[in-house]
Amino acid sequence: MSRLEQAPVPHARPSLTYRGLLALPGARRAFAAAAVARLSFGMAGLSLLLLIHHATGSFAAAGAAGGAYSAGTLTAPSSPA
Amino acid sequence: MDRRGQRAVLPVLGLGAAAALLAMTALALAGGRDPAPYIALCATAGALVPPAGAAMRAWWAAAAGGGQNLERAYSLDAATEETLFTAGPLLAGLTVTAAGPVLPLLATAALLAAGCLLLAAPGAGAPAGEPGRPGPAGPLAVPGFRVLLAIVLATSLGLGAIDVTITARAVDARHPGAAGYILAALSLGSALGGLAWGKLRHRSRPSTQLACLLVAMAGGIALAAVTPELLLAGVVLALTGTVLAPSAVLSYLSAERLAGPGAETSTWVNTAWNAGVAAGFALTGLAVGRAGPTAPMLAGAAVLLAAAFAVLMRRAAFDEPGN
Repeated sequence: MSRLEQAPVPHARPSLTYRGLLALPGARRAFAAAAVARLSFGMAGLSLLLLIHHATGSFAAAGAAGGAYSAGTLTAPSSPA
Repeated sequence: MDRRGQRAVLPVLGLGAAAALLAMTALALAGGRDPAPYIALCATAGALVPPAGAAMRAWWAAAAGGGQNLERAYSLDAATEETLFTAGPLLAGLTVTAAGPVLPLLATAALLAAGCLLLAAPGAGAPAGEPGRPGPAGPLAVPGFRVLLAIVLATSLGLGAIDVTITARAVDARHPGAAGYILAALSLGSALGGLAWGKLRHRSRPSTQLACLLVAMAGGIALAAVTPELLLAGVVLALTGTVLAPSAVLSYLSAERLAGPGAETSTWVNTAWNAGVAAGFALTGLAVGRAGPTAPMLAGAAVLLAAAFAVLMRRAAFDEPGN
């Protein structure tokens, strides 16, 4: 966290390639942590639809639950920062 | 608690989201059929999930500077996100095929817990909390930014129709795993589209670019909706996917251009996106139950077309150079 705030301050930086961007100090580490978290986000939607449709027998219930999950995330970003 | 402390706590709270997902699997295994507790647990899990995407984009905005580098960083990030959103449904599809409908959510909970612990580790990708430089009234005071948020909301509302309709079609076809493979193909197309977009130089007005991407999206989804063969519909969606990540990149860049960089700007875009997905899921679920999957998917395409129209109607505000 503290290291994030020391992310390199942009001066007149030359144009970077994708590889160059990942070589920035701390980039790989931040990238890996965010990646594992987002992999679970990628699984969550369909996993919830499948489980809740299986349990309740209803796509209306599965859709509402999936919607509730997304609606729940609305409060997450505004609370920090 | 100071801001750094709060940021350290967020990923730890995310473990509560993993626990809520676990509780749902336990409820399903115990034979719970009432939708209400699932909906409540879903809302709880969603509220506790750490905003890893917004944190990563704030990190890039601070580290990569502006201009071409930031466009490239966002393209890389969107492509990565789409790759993970490829792998996610693929894993869900594989596990549902191999072990039934409970294991995918168990695996999701395990990955979420691991991700939260990594995010909480010192020096990892916790939200950077970059304050940015929005005016006293915040980014919402910028007219073009409000237009952008409306477009993002409409786009995600339209796209929210895809997951539920494809899952319903796959379940109808007695092959629920197919939903995973098709959503994975969609995201793979998106990842490739995002990487290609980041390498191109764009000269036309942002509103023109976004409107074109939205029209392509609407056309592809409408075509997939009326394609009777599920596999073929999946191929159409994979091709349609190529314009998804570019439209996300364009939205984030437009947000920065209109309202200045920073976590608040990125968070507003995320919030609009998630609100649209939430509404899209809920409305599509209801509609699929009554009318089957085709009509709700066509409705999603119509919403995307309306969003393209709205960008062009408000292009003067949307193309503003910003502050």
